[in-house]
Amino acid sequence: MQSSALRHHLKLGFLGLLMGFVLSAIGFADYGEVHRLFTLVDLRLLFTFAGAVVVAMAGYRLLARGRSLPDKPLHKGTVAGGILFGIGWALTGACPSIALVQLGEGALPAVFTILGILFGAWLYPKVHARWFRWDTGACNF
Amino acid sequence: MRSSRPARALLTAAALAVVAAMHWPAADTHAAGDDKTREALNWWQDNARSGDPVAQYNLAKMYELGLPDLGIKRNPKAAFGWYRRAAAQGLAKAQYELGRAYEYGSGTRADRKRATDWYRRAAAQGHTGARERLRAGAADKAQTTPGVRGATTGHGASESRLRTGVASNAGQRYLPWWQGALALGGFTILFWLFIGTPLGVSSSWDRIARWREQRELDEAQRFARENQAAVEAAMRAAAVEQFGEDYVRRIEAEQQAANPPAPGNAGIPAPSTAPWHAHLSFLAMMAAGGLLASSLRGDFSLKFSLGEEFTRLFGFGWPAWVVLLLGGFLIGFGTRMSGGCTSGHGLSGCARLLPASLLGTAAFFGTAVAVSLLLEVKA
Repeated sequence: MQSSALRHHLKLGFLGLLMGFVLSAIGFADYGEVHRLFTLVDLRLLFTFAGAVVVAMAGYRLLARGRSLPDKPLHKGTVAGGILFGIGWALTGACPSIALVQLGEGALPAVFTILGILFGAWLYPKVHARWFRWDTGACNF
Repeated sequence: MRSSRPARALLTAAALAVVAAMHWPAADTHAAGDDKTREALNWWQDNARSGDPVAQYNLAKMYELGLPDLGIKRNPKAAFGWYRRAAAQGLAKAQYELGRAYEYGSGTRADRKRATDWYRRAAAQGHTGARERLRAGAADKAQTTPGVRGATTGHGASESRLRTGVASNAGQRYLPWWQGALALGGFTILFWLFIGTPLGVSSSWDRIARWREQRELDEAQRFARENQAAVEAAMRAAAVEQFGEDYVRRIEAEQQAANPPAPGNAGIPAPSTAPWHAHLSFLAMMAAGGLLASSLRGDFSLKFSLGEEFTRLFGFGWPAWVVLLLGGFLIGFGTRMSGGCTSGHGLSGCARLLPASLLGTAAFFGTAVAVSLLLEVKA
């Protein structure tokens, strides 16, 4: 059991390092860059993302032989949650990975964003269980 | 947003006070005014120390020029130090001044390469003075710094409002779009090949935020798996007692013929998911990745601001931090509500053309654009 936990740590740790590196290298953790994307002044990041989607699409097509991937259910919260996230993204320049990359780049105020994300992620399941109860098709995800 | 206005007003008042002080001919006839100026100065210094880039810039300017009436002598070294701190936080005018300090060797050793580098950063943010210095320098002597694209050839292109990675000045520290696309898309596939589930980051936050429940779930799953043999043996013994050995054997043989057991633990699914603390590793190493990349780029520094654009929109200090806390909450709550974030919906979901992901991505991207444009209108 211990060795399997360690393997998970190594695998996810390595992937986290790589992801943080790539996100920082494309400038996605730079508030100015993200703001220039959202105000449509500089579309470099949009092209980066669209290109990445195409690359990933090709990858899934080529390598998915026989493997089934979990679907993402469409429910009432999909768009509403997206809108809430969009507001947060515009204000902080961060998405759930970027807040950490910002901190890694030395931007100390990202700590506040991280605390906010933790609180939001902690609160949502409780609110959902109490009031929404949408069929999200999975118990843990 | 609005709450930063008092701070800005105070700062402007302080700046005016200092400028006025510089023009007062006789200090002793304005003793009361001097006290006020002193006060403003102290307030300013406190802010500069706590990391406000604008205050740092103003303090640097003061040291550069000197305020003899207040007993402050010219101090190029101190000016250089404060310019450098403000420039590291992305303040364009400080980057320009730092470039000048390096060019003329004021408060530091003259270093043309560094001067050009800081002029470029300021120019990338639209600082016209820095652009002029760069143009003059380029005409002076064709300088080339490896790794920086479009330094001397990109001026014309940078004037156009709509820029792409090819001609971008602002993003020149970062990968051009096609390299970024390959890296990010490749990583999405790599993650899936390594872990077996499509890339998604917001679920990691969910696991960490609810670590207590996750720990209990992990424990229960582990217990069931470890004791599966004992549970099965007990169930078989009970069946034998009720139906007899022969009957149970016959049923078992029939079942085996119908579907041969899969290797490993067939009854209870093995946890395909990592324990919650491995997700903590994932997120922590993301910060390490950012540290590594920015160190290699050479722009790592501890900053009290998210950059000049952020400071311009939200000010500096606790009002800005409240904005971040609130924004963070919306990110955490919204992504869990939507069932994915930029990575789960935007990258791996859109790449598989999942309707939920396409809609979710359109919602958060569209909202972010609308809110950002609104912020610009207000600012």
